[in-house]
Amino acid sequence: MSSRNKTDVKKLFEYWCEVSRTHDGIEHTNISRHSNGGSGGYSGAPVGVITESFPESFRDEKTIHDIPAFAFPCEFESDSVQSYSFVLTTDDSKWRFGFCRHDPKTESTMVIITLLPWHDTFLRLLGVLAELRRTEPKEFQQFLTEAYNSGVPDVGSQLKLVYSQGQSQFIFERPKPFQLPSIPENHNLNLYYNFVDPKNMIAVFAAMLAERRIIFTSTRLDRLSSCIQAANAFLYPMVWQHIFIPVLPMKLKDYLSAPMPYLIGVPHLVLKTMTPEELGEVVTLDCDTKIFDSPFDDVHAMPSEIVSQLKKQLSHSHQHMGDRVSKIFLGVLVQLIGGYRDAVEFRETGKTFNRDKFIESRPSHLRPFLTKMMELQIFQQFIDERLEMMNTGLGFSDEFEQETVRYAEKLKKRGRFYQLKEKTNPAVKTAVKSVKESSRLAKHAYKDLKTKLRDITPPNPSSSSHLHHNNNNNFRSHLNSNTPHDRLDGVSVGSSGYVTSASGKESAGKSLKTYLGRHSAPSSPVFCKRIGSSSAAVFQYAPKDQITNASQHLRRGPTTLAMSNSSTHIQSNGYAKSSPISFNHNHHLASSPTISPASSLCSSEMNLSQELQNHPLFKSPIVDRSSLRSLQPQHMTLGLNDTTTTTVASANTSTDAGSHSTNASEESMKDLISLDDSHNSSFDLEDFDPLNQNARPLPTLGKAMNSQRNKSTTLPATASRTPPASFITAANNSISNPLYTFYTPQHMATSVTGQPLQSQHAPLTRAPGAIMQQHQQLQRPQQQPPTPPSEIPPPLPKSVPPPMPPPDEDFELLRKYGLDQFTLITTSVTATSTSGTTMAGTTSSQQNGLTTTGMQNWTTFD
Amino acid sequence: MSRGFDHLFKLLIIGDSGVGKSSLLIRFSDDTFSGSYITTIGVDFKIRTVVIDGKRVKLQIWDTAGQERFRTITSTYYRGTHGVIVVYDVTNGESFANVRRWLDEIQNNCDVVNKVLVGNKNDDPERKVVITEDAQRFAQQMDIELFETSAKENIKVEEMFLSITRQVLQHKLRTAQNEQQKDTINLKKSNKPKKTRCCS
Repeated sequence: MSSRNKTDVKKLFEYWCEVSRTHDGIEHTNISRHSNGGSGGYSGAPVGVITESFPESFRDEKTIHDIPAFAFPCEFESDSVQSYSFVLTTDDSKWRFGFCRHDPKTESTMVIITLLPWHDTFLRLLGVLAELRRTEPKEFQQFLTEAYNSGVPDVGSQLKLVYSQGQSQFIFERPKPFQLPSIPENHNLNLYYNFVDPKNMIAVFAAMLAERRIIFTSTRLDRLSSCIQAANAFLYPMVWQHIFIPVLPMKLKDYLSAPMPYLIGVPHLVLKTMTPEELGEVVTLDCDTKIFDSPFDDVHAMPSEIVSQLKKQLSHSHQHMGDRVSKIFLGVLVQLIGGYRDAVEFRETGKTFNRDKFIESRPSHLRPFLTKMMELQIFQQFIDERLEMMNTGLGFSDEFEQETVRYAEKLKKRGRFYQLKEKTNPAVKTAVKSVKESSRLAKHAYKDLKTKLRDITPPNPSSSSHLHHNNNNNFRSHLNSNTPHDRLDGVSVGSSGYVTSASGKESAGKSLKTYLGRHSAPSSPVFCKRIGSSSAAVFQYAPKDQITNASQHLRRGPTTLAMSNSSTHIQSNGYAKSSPISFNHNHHLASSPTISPASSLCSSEMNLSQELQNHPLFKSPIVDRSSLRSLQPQHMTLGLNDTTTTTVASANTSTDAGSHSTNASEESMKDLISLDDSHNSSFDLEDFDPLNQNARPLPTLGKAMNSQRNKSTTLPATASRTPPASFITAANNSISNPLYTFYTPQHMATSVTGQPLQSQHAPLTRAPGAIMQQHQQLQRPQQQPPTPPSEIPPPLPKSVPPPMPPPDEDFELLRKYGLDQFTLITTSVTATSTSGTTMAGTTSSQQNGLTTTGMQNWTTFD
Repeated sequence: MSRGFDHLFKLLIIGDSGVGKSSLLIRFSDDTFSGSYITTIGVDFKIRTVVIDGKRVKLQIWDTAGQERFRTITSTYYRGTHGVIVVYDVTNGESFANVRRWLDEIQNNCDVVNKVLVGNKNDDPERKVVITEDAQRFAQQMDIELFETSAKENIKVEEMFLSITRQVLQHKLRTAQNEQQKDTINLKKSNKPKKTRCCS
């Protein structure tokens, strides 16, 4: 196993002590008994002595002996309280952590020795301990004992310790095992990020990927230990396997001449005592002066694409809140070694890893570097760990595996390197693909929908009825999408589309829950409700204030920025729906606010969708139906969120879930109730064809909308998503759909010749049309005569999306100049599409106000 | 650091824990203290200065904790060393299997040319499971010298250390001689001893 953390830890901490500095300069007899053999010659270090400790049962002489040296590794600046950590290595090479809090006033350091790597938790605990010790010394011992005996909280649960006569509490939740360090929650990363600039981060990363002898130095111990820890965390999913000493005491300085790879934090005073000859070929980073020095050129040895990618992503500092920085490095490792499964071979003895096969399976520009990486101990241990997990049948899915799946999906999808494209909703694509594969099933579903649609009554926004019809709406809008006539009012269509998605979610959400259990996804039913409510709002043509709220909400925070980028993109090239979806649909990702359009790493759905794709159950008819339903909803959902400020994430999840609602078959069945085949005769496929002049008019969706509305709850919006512009527009009922004009003709043209690759995009491109159609239908009762789709609808799953190169190029250009960042449009008039594809400028007077507000969070370029 | 030597060599000792690496080092080392061996930082080294062919050679022999967790020890681990002492326990077949795997890796991927194979705990024929013939055959196949030692009885320990030291020294002198004709790998190697000499 590659992990160097103990797994079966029973105690919160092993040992607590306070180390005081002695002023006589002579080692206290208790601790000077053992001199370090062979490495004598140290001097100048302050000497500490353990003045108090707990519990007495801790008898690890070696550790107790060394604690004072680590607590006072050398003379160090101590103008204020300083918290740092050191690491000891057990005989089986596991790490034991020492968390220190040095108080300059008392010249003493409080130390906690533990096997748990929970830096932030223990630094906090130390703060409480120090406070207690100062203010309520009597209670201190009691609190310490309680903490010691409290054990280790289970995964996902909390530990609560009460002190000050119950006035105060120390509460912490057990850190998730695969959580990426994020800013500002992670103290170590904060310091690393603040004191080491991106260039040096990359240099250190490269040196670590060459397993060099690496020294960090600083005059401050907290900076030192944190930077070492943070640098190691960037190796995830790999773990530094060599000598690892975040703070090296003066008396152990001779270990700096170790010939093996190491990562050592050396206080500046200690480093000064070493000669270059003693150090040999060592990589050094001074965390104070930001000077990096290396006899090697490891950065150059990395694939230049990787390095430039790192530089670029690390330069977008406004996006770095949350776990973005961690994900940037994770993304690189995903690119490098994420495909390791491709080279796993099945032997009688178990699964093995074929290096050569792995190298050959990688892009040629990565091969030279990967060949070297095969020689890394950190990689070897990583592979061994993963193989072992596979061989033991242990299921595993960590952040790395998830990112890998996402990345693979992305690669599959994109022919080019447009970053934004990567954001296309993978779930949708997957769903389409799978549907395609089983076209028969799809047809069935289609039939059902047709039947269903027939029964739908004209929309009555205020009245509530058939909840289950919503699913059909989704389909219908989809089918009708390309009708020319719909183009004008694509806006309102969008709203109906939302409804659809919400309804589809109903079943989907539940299934998702089952499926995603390990991600601890928020319970989907709740989300369903939210979406339902939002959809209802949309249906009512989204009151202005509501929209405004939503947009404002969206505008806040890094997430918004990212989203706006993608939405811009969408507007231009017609892939719009997909990009918003790229938001996190699982709990994990949701926590990370920053998703940059430039990086593909963040789209969490890929993982899920891929899993779904491979899921054996996915092929069952029920599943197929749900997946069909889910296709549209995904796009719609986004729009919904935009307008109503509801959580997009939930919608996504639910949608995705719908596509693979294998486990929740029962739930799906509920939704399908209204789809029973008895009505099959009423509509034919042709009826849904927008190009079919003879098609029967389709009923409007009102019922569905109403039902949604009833379902709607007043749950507060938990997450915000950026809506694609088109959606907002739709919500506002503004006439112009920028996407549509550009997109429709192409779609028609290409739909006939569906190629596999293109087909993946089909749902995306079609979505706008679908929205429009939907919109139109909704409007019928109120303003327009129902116009049946008269032309040929592309078969759902098979339709081919139009290639949209021009928008992409434009967007790339804009991005280059930083113009893709939020430009807020305050009037509908200015909302021109980025791509230069024409935005249909027809706005109806009634919609003006809404449009304006809706556009506020919409990014466009003039 | 004392400067009374002509060469400083850094050697690695590898092998499962329990094969007696620490006993060997303690037996060999200048340091008579035999308390806790591996430090709390998971690495330790022992020093001894020997005289070979009139040259004073200072040996640093490094050991790290928990090597048995490595199915293979990759080349980066050996990168900065002059020689490797590979230890197994003649009473433990598994330790020999590990050693074979590690040596294969060294042979295939590492620049390390100086190495010696050591079967320790060779003091109780009753318990011996790795028979000399097998080990010898393997050693020849790997082109490596085999010593069956006993740290406990102090059998062949000295010879073993002197042998690897001589190997390293000769290799160094040889590469220094042929420096200009050497390929890059050897150039690199020859540089390191030079540096250490300077620092003496």
